[in-house]
Amino acid sequence: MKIKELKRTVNVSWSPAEQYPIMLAAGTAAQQVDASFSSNSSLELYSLNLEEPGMDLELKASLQTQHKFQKLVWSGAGVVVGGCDGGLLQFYNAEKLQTGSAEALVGTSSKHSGHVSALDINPYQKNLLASGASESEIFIWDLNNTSQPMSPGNRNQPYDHVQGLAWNQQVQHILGSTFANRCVVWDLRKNEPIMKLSDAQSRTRWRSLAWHPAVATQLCIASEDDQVPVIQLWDLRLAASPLVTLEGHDKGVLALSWCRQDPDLLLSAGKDGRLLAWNPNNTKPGGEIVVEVCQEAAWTFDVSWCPRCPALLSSSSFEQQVAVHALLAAPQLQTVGAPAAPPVCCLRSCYIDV
Amino acid sequence: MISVLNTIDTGHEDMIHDAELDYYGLRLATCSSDNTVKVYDIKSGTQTLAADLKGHFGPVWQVAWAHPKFGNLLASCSYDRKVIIWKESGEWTKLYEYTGHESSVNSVAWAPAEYGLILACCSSDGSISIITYNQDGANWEVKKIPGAHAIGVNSISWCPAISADLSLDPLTNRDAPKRIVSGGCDNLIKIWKEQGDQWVEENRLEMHMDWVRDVAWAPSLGLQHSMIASCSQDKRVVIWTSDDNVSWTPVILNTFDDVVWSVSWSLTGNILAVSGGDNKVSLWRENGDGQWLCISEVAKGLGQTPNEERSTL
Repeated sequence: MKIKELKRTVNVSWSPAEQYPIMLAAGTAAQQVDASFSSNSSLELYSLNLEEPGMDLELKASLQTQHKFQKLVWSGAGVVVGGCDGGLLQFYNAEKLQTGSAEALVGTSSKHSGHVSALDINPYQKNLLASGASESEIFIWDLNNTSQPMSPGNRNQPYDHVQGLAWNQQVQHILGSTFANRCVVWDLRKNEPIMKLSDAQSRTRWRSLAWHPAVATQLCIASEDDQVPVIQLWDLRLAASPLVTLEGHDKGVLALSWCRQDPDLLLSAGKDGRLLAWNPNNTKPGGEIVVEVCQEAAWTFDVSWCPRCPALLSSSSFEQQVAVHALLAAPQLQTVGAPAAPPVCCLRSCYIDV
Repeated sequence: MISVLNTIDTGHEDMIHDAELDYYGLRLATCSSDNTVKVYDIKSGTQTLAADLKGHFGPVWQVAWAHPKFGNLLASCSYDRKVIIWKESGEWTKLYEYTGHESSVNSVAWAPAEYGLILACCSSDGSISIITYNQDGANWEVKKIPGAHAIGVNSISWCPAISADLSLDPLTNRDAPKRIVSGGCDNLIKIWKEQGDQWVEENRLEMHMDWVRDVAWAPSLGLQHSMIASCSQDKRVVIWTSDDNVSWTPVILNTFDDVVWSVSWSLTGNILAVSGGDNKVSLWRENGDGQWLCISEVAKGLGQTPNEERSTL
């Protein structure tokens, strides 16, 4: 059920679990135009505003920026990172952003080439950021000192745009990266790739990936190809073929988000405008759809669980809309036989430990 | 001195979410993630299974006994969006099934018996329903409070019938407005008052920094003093007091080591039982200076899942 919305052409990021109250950072989206063809760009912070009825988020702070954003992430270390076009990375101090200080931009880098659309913060070392751009470039940054990034190994050939990056949720030195036709898993201690996944059977064009919150060797990869709009669950221990292929989207899948607190909930969103919640641990053929959260007309290109409150998720669609949905209020999918088990946050055995 | 009187092996096949003693303390109702509600006759240390009620399709979160003057009635609410009122006349049967909510119903509470047979229930769809039994038509009337809390309402509790409203003659308490308190996923506690045939938000209590999991309005001692206990995932229990039901003052009872799931008042003596993720049940009482002191602690050594107990002492 949609509880809040923001009618802007923006890319968003939830505040990290340590941050209270819950906020959404929204940066003007690059490569998209709004109705006024405006070239102004800004980075804004919105508070969730649950106490007020109505669909509006509350604008808390706004900062004019020079560049529009491809992607935003908000680290628990208090830094908001924006990936832009032209290989640019911008680092903002979250606290200064909230107070509206003009010196919120604390660092910038143009080491990348092409647009930086893949960013992820390490779940254990909140100051470690992975960023990916064109030419197979992946850099690892220490947010305390952004002058010299390191790379996880030699650039993976053939040189391709890095579609997605994700840190393993159990083992802190493992990083997954997706290119259009392969997924490369890096071990940062050895500084080289340890695994390459490719699906020779189908014409998948990979876009987004998400690691299993509880099982270190499993991850889901989504394909944005309209002929093969699937999500595959792979286990690195049996890397010949996927464990299960989740079929349910009518067109390519653009984004994935796996709930950290509840491994039985994986969100996917795609070009068919559908936002689906899956239980990826059910390996029956075709996969198990837990609930269809919503159906929009336009492509939904980003979806994300709220780190602090596992019942909330955000989705961004090309119809100039960011929506915050509450999962527990969604009508349940009545499957024949046993109904879906309630999400973990219902079962009173899950809470945020900050 | 607190000691364990009895341990009951319920035979439930999954987590037990609630356990309630009836008015006389002779029967215990339990409900579980195995979708059933079980009723036990407990007398002097022995227990016999009196009923195994199957009717829900999802985990049952809470049960509540109605006042015995209405007969043997038990309400249960579940993740399957239903509220079922069961009746015993010889055998247990379903008296009424309410399906007006769009997602999990998290809590049910019977109104003070002086108001009649009324059940309040709250849901993850954000709304609260007040279901009243109409004697004349022998049917159930429903009033809804939509959009009570964003994301969901976790708990509700009725204000006892004896009012703290200074302007009312204590002898005509029947005319005091009905009040309920609700706690939700928006971290707020709201007090609702019945005005005419509508329920309106009278007060909004902000203190918690995470989901409010349980609220409990203390039974009245006849004094013009209202107390509400609330507990939250932010590990705190807060006691709210008021002399006029209009302005409320919060006092933090304690900050615990873990999430607090449940708070419950004793029928007399105003002792508060608190249970939480640290697997402990603790009892608290206010001393003469307004300080809340822990008068005992019972550590649960058995099992690893938190056991939420709501027992009337």
